[in-house]
Amino acid sequence: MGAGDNDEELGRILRTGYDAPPPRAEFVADLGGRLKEELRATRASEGRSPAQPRAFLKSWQWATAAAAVLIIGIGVASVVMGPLGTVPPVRPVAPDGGLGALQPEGTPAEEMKVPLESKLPRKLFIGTPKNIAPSPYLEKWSENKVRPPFLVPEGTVNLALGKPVTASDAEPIIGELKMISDGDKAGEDGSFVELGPGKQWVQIDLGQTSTIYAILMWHFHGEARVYHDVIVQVADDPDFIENVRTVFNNDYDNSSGLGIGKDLEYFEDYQGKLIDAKGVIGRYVRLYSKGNTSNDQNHYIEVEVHGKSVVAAPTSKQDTLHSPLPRSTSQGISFL
Amino acid sequence: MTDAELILAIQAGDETALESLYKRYLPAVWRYAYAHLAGNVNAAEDVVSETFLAAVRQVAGLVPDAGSLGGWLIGIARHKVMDYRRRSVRMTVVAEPENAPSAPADRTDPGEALEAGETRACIASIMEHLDHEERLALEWKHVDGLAVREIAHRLGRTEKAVEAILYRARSSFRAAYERAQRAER
Repeated sequence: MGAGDNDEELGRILRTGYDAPPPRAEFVADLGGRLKEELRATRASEGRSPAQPRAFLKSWQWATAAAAVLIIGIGVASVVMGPLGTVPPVRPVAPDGGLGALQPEGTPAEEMKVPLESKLPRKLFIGTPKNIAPSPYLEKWSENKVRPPFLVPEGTVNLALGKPVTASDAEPIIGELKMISDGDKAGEDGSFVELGPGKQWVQIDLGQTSTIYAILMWHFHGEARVYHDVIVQVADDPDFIENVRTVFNNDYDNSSGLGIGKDLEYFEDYQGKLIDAKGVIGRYVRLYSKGNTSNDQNHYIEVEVHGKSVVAAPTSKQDTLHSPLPRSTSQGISFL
Repeated sequence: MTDAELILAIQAGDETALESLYKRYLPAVWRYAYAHLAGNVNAAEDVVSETFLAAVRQVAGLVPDAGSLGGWLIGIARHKVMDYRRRSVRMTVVAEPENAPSAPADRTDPGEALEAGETRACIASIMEHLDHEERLALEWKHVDGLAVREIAHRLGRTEKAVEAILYRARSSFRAAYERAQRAER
């Protein structure tokens, strides 16, 4: 075959090598009808989008009030228990109101700390990100930066592995939600899930109440990108009403309506983003994002939640007073 | 209607606009799926269905003029093809031999079939690496036989801009095709 020296020759090559027989007429008609039905169904469901979060608290006044409650709580606790530095080990409150306190399985009084282990995927992006302007809200790019070891209590495991994942976009454009917790962190095509444009979330049910020390997430690392409004919350219930705590928030202008975040935006890379969850206790982990510097879509390759399951143990009512974590239904305010 | 106008009309619930979009992009998406699934018609039908259904579900969030609609659709199709391949691998592992998908039966000479399959794969790969607009313009012009004016209208570009896109597309295609030919020898 020639190389398509003229336009006619090029057309011939394309017609013989790239054209396909036409699709079946029945298929074309059937799909056309299904698309119209889908459009009607999609429009009918507008207005009750699961992506809409409950935003009970989002103004600075509420944040101030909550902070005041926290300070008062700490003050009271210090009177009851002595100086802050001598607060005994925390025993979190059980969801039943204190009949059984919760503690991580096999937790000794003094836990041995070990580096968090997570096998990293192959590095794909090499070079300096282009077309992403520096900003006071964005971490500086450093190609050779390697994350220092992050210490967690011995026995910490990835609780999210194989756990069920739900999302605001129940039918991803690309991939399946279960890929987010399948252990595959490769950045190549076929390993990520693409959710629709705008604000979206994914949620992992850890199966039982757990102490969470770190959350590691990979949105997309095939190229240097920055995802917007990355917010990570932990709660006791799947609807994120009970005891919602924010462990990461880089929505610096509150455009997602979950409160102003103090964390910085960051470049995605093969190492993923590690969030120090500081031993927060909960069962459900929800991760928000709102598009990225390359497009409006939202992507997830993998999310790891490192921690320990919590088991109920007999305790006295006195123990319930020792929790420094306020029980709150607020969103958008970090108590950590 | 331009792509941006179509998107706006579909967002407003206009089913005629949806039909226009479907007719406009079905050939390109079909061709893409067919080429990348080695002529497996059933698989191509699945991928094309999933692609358009996913697009309709997401159309409310699309920003008109934010990018190439055709490129977006092909992007969805590309990943649906990968999803299909991944599922096929899983099914092949557990399937009985007689359930394994059969090769296309429209070729009788294995040598010819192999050569035709290789040519198809080569051209599909070249097209895959072209810019979205360049690929669409090339297909519309040389496979579907559309006039430059119609392509310009669809893309929301001037005719001059489309001529430039076509020039770049032809140059890129020829260069890649020649490289592939040399490598074959």
